[in-house]
Amino acid sequence: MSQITVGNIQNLAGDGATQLYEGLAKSWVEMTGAGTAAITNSFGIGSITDNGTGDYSGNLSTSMSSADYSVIAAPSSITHGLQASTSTSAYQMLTYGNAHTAADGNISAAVFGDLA
Amino acid sequence: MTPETYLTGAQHTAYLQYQEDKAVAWAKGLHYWQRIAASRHFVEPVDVPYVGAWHDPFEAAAPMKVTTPSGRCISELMKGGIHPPLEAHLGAKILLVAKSGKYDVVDQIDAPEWRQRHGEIVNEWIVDYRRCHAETAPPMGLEDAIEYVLMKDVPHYVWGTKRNRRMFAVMDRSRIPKDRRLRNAWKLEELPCQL
Repeated sequence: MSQITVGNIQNLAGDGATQLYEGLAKSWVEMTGAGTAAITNSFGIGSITDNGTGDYSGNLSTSMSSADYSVIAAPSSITHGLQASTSTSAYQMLTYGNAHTAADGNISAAVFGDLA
Repeated sequence: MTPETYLTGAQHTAYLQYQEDKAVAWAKGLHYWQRIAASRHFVEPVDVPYVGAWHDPFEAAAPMKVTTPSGRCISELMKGGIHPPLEAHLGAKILLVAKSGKYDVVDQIDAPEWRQRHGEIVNEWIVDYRRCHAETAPPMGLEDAIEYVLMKDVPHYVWGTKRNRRMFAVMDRSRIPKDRRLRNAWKLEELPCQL
């Protein structure tokens, strides 16, 4: 059986390339927020910043082309977490406990969108 | 609204050239992100003993922030040939648009301060990132790699500006208090520890 391995498809005119990476996560991180925040595993993340209780930033290795991209953040040890703001090079995540007050917790996040 | 709305003349020409160079970088497999993706198969994360602790002068009442480098990113930097030189990151051009209507093209190194000074940012676009695709940094030692990540990810106005009180320190990770109440009371200027 034949196999085609390709990263880009170019049209016949040669003036445009379709990136097959479009649907892939451009970066992801799994981190623990309690104590001193630490990265458990990651891809495309330069560092994380612990801004305060339940407030973390993921700093991307490769910048995104604009601040319009998607961050999907899922907490694992707390009630809920969400993505708060984005810039081309970083995004902010907030986590909350049962009383809907800021609380430290473990969180995973994945970034989808266009790279710079 | 797109970057084209705000860029005029030479800026717009440079932006179009950048988009073309980016497409070439993808086609040749030299895109920065592709180098990171490929390295995942042969780079293992390392333990990072140091973190960057800092205060944001624009948020005087906020607790001390702690930036922890990724062990995988540090390992990639130590391997070399994957990440661009630090200057390429800091010199990348960003178009920033504030809610007030003000906009400007600034170097990435100046972008955090611009965001703080101009209030809510409506959007921002990278308009030149080609050095990050085209150039790679040579292998470096652990401490140089940590310094690279912290200089890239901690705002320049924190570590690059002389102030009356200490705003930034690289310290052993084990010295950061685990208890949030204790940590929130920390002031860097009162700490004796620094790398």
